[in-house]
Amino acid sequence: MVFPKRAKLILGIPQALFYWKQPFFWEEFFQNLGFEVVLSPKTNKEIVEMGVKIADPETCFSVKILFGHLLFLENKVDLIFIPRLKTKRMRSQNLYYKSQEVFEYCPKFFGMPDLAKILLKTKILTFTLDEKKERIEKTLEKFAKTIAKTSKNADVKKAIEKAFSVTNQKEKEAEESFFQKAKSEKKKIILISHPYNLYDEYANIGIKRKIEGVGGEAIFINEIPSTSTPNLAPRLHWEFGEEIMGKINTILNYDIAGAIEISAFLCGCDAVLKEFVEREFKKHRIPFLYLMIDEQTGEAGIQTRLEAFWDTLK
Amino acid sequence: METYLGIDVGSISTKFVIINEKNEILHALYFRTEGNPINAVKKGLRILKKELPKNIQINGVGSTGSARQLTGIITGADIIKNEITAHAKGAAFFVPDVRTVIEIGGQDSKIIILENGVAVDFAMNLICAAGTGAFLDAQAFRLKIPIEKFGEIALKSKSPTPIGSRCTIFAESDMIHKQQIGHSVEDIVAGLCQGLVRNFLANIAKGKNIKSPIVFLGGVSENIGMRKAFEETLEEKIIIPKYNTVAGAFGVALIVKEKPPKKTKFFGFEVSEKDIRCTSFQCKGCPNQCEVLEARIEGEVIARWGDRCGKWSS
Repeated sequence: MVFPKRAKLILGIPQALFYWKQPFFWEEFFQNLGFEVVLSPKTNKEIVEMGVKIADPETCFSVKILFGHLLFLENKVDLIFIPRLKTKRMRSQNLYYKSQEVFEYCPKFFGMPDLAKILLKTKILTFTLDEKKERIEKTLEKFAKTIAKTSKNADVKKAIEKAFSVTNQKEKEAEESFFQKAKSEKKKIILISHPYNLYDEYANIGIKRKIEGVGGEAIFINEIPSTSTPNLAPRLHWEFGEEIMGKINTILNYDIAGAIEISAFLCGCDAVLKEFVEREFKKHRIPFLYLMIDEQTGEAGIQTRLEAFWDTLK
Repeated sequence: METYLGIDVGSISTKFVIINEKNEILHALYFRTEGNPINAVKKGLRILKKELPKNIQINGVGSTGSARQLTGIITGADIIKNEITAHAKGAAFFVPDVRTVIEIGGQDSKIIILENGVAVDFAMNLICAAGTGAFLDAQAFRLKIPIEKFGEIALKSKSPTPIGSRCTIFAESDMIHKQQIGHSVEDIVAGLCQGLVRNFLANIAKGKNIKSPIVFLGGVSENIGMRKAFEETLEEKIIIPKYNTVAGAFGVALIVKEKPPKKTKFFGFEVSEKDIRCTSFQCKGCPNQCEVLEARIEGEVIARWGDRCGKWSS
């Protein structure tokens, strides 16, 4: 790659979609490699409108939001980072994954760098993550060497390690906060969705705040620690499906009042996953609510359903 | 006499119910909202003031329906309850062992599953309003049939014409087509009722365990064609209680009576003579540009809402 000659290159990262799969990781990674990192702001109305305008109507809401973030970064930075995520190997601390099975990302993640290249004039920085072929650490090392200022092997390795340690730290914090919340006297509600829907307050119309507003304790599915409980549901094709079903298995051991699944309109993967998620909670007689979000979602509709749902909880 | 007032302001119709200490309905009003919820509330209060005996004392007021927030604010309601809980409450009073409530109103259709008189599960139409009152209204108008006669005409049919009713738009074009190839109006109207019931069961009631006793509420429950279509499709008896169109208002009156306020916040029937205005403005505080709503009585701001951050509403 040919870069402009400047002391520090400015790299833009959209705070959308893939970013929330591993928050804080990418900015740490690139800063350690000598980039100046700029994050797009939290999703707001302007960003959503920009994204919706450019996206074709069959695109899911989450991708529309990403487009908005990309357009926000356009011409403000030297490079925009979008990884090509293909497959993920389940980590080994989960004893259950004996063979360390490999699962696929949603197809939208495969093609995203190509779509971005069509959409933007700003250069796209990308790499392919395919753990079917190679572990993430190795892939990142090779990728880092092609873009880093330093050519020293040790420096590159350190940059990657530091980024991973930040992620591990955050995961630990999430776990601690989970155990805190699990002890809470309040009615506990599990929010099930992709991290890019859960952490994007604009997209989910502040669902967490709304639950706290009626007096509940909101727990995000990804805060639940992974355990070695086997996933009883049929094996799912997608990495998030496997993860979500596994965590549902764990949470069923706790005293929870209800579960809410949030799905972005036109998400094909969720259409399949929803049936399995719902069945699991219904089987355990835990009230379940399904909410769909998109750019037309009215605050009123969500509020009505949430209030009624709250009234159905024991 | 000590009484409680329930107000249900929906998209198409407005309902008022006054109950006494024995849960008896003293007065029930049902009229069209005509696109102006504030005027509808004022109208209802004016009628009640005129028709009720002078010795009536209102001990508590509850509001429900899609305009419950606004209604609650301009009347000084003691409780603002979602329409699902309110309808469940109303239905369980009429039929204590009710297991399923089907409620079809102007723009909403919902199913509520109850156990021991309490709602345990529910679903509401997400994005499609096919089969709701507004659609039937439009079709009755197009066929030049008064909406009150719609059901009667459907009952005359001996062989209902199948109408594709997955979507309102297609149902309408299919009806036009069936007219053009020579089917009678009775058969088409009856076929439409059956199609709408199929649509309701396939979309809204999907995956719900429909058990008897089944109670049918809302404006559409007045339509005997729809009642018959539900009975035939479900092969179960459908119960239509006496106050089928005002069950939400009745339910919220029961709810407020259960936990009566020490002193009601109700502004009194006189508020109907006052100047009540609701305006909106766009907040420029951040890129979200929320539409903030503002209610004033005699020029004095009584409430603001609609902002995502709480800057105006708190």
